[in-house]
Amino acid sequence: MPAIVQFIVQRLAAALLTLVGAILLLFVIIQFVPGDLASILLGPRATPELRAQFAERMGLDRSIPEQIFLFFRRAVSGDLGTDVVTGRDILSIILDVLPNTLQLAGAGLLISLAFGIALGCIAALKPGSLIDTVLGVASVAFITTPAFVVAIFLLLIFSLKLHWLPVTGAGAPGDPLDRLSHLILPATALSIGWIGYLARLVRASLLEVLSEQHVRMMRAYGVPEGRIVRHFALRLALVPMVAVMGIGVGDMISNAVFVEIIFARPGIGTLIYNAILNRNFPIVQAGILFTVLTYVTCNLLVDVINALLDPRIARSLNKPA
Amino acid sequence: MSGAAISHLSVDFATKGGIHHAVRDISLAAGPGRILGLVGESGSGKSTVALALMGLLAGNAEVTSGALQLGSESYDLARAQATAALRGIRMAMIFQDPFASLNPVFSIRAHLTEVLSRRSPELDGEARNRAAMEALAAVGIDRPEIRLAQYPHELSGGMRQRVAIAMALLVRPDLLIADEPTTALDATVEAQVMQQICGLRDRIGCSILLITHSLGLVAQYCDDIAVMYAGELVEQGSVAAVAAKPGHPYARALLACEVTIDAPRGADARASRFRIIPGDLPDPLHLPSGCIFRTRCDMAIADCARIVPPPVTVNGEPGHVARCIRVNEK
Amino acid sequence: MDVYLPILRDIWRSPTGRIGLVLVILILLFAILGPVFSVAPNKIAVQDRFQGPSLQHLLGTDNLGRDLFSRTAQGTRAALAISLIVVALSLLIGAIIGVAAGMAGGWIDRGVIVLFDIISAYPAVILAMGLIALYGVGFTNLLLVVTLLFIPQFGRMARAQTLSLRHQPFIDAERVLGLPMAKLVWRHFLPNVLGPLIVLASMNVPVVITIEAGLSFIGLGVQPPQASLGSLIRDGYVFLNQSWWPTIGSAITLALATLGSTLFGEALRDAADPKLRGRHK
Repeated sequence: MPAIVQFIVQRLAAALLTLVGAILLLFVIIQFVPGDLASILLGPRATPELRAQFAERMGLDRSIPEQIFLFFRRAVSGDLGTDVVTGRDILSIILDVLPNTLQLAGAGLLISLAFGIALGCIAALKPGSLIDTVLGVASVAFITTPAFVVAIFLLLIFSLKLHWLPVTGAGAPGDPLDRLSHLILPATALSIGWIGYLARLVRASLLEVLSEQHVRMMRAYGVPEGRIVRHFALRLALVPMVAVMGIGVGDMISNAVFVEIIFARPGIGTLIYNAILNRNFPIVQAGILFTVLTYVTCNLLVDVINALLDPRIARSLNKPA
Repeated sequence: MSGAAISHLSVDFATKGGIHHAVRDISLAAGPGRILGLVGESGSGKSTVALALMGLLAGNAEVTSGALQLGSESYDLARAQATAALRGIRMAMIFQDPFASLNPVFSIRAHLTEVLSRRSPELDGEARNRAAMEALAAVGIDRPEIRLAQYPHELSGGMRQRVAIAMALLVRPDLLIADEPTTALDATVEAQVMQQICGLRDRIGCSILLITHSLGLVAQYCDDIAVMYAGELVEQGSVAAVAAKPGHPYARALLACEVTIDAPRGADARASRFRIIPGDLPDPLHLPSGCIFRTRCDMAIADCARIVPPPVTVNGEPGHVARCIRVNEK
Repeated sequence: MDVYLPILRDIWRSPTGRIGLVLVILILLFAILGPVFSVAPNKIAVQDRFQGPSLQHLLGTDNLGRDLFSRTAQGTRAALAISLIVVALSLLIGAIIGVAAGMAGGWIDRGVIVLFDIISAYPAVILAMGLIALYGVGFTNLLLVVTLLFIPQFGRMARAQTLSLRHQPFIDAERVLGLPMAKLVWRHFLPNVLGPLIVLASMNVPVVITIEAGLSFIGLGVQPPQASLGSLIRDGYVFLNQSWWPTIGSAITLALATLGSTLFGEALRDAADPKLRGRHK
């Protein structure tokens, strides 16, 4: 079996294991909540009828292993129950808003990558220059300003003062242009910190690669400098960047909560948040489950992309640790 | 083709302490199909000579004078980008550390075809692929079709250096510079790699500048030798002539450290190489007056501090010169 | 002390480190001395609402006429206290678990790693939100939850350090001499593991400040009437149409606190590890 296939299989198994562990942790977290589980999870709406239904569903009268089994079976089969407030299927509630969050995080990721790589390259090609210094200072400022602060100021300036872009919501469902205009500010808020972080990372990594001997080798064979940088050096320099994108995705999902709340965008973040305010815990639980699923999947993708980018990774990770 | 000749090459480095004249007035020649060994200690400036020829010096270096004669054309090395158009066309270079000279995220094929896309732009993809495979086979790599798809980390050091030689082979240069090509390899692999370099010379008839600190390597594979010390050339000539009767005390000391030129080299000789000459290279910012070697020379006299030694023909042999005022005394 | 002075000197010598150190000291002074100079931070005076900066109210007043200078100082104090406690707690717990796992090896070690991976499989803020929602808001829960988020980082590093240390010859020598395991850990492992962990801790201070501010911003962190930088921004944000001042003062304070601690943390890292010096500048 080629190293890359072996690697993917191994990462897939690890991701599944992590997912199982994460579901188990969720179960444990809920078990340890002090007080009566049904009244806590159902909140103020706990009629005796609902409580009985809940106890039946969770198998509260059964043994703990059986409860875990039930919990898992429901989680895996996508049976997340019915929302007590709206009477809708919880899975469909989640799937309704999930695309909004994925679009937001995806757009944030794209903006971070595009600007982070570009700015990092500009800085690395003229180290010590004025533009390098300016970019360095800007990067630190970008990294250290929390996303929700950026979101508020973007909203303040571009929506409330200048009226350039819409204030709230995710845009009309069938209108791509409207949706895009609703995406710009939240995605920018989400990406600012990572633009700074990636710019610094790409700069450092590209500078290191450009000083390596194989770059000198390419020069000795007359390969044009532009091609050396863009084709040969950059691909190697992007390896450490892709490696941190796993963390980046988690950060995007985390910050999406704040950004969605500020821009009143429907999404997993606002769904969980509103469910918390309403003490509607089945929704909270399902929402958390889906963010974990998204995060673990993205991490798996990042690992595979990195292994495709750098053939050494599949090799080294296949060896027993 | 009349080989490669370097004349009056001088290189300065701007350092914190001041201008460092790293290479001073070096002239060398390597005839077509001949291998010139440039030897010297670390810091003697031999690698600077190579990088100056290729135009790959670091930003703080400046070629203050020098010309490269390649065939019938002459190139002023003091001009920026003087040899840029020759790289990968008439000049090629093999670097010291094969573990660092290939890009780890590109296949062997990508390295070889990149060279071809500059050297032979007329070839289409299929022809380039075939040429790359032939080049790998020519440097003694078995199953080249499999190796082409592999990545550098899947190859041994010796194999990677052969890939570098294959890249040079694809260029068919007039001048090949090999900068300590075997320093990072074991002795057995060293012989294989050197044989491939000689094979390349036989195949395309280029001049080779072999930079090394190993006199054994020079004795075994080179036709001519040039000895550098602290940025200057102190002796040059045919390997046979210099080995038989070195004119400069430094060359003599080097040869004394090394085992005799005909016998195979032993491990103890490797270990003790150069250690026998007492003292260190002079501080490049404060070179001694007169002869630069006199502070470490066991036969220095008062005149050595006053006279900058001119090149003197040793023993009346044409082409064998040494820069020592006491050359022909004994 | 001789070990620490050169590190401080190095931090002072790097331009960004110097800015970081100055900012950290200013923020600390503001947090410690601010409340001394302020009027009652929770005193409501509705007639004075939404005032701009003045001599009486250096940063203006909020929607209830409370003095924003006093409240910002109080919030800064909360942010610093929480971040320092969280970082110290997660360092301590992470170090104990990590060293223990590294020493024990085998299935204990693997189990700990899997547990860390599982905690890290949750996006940090989401896990924190869920836990706080289930277990209730409040200062203690906030501390414990955020600490939990940071334990894996410290634990992994402590474990890695332990593993690399375990095979050092002097450890084997001590084991042969019959030094009890507890003494071995106490005498050799903790001091050697501590250095990198402290650097990691200082790098994490701004991260914790940001998370605390975020949670307080959405009402799951520090609870009113106690002010926090996040809740101040929230209060200001709700009334953005009336006045910018409540948001701006606290947002800038928050940004300066994270900026200062980031620059300081990076300078400390560079000073503590000479190998890395210059690579990240």
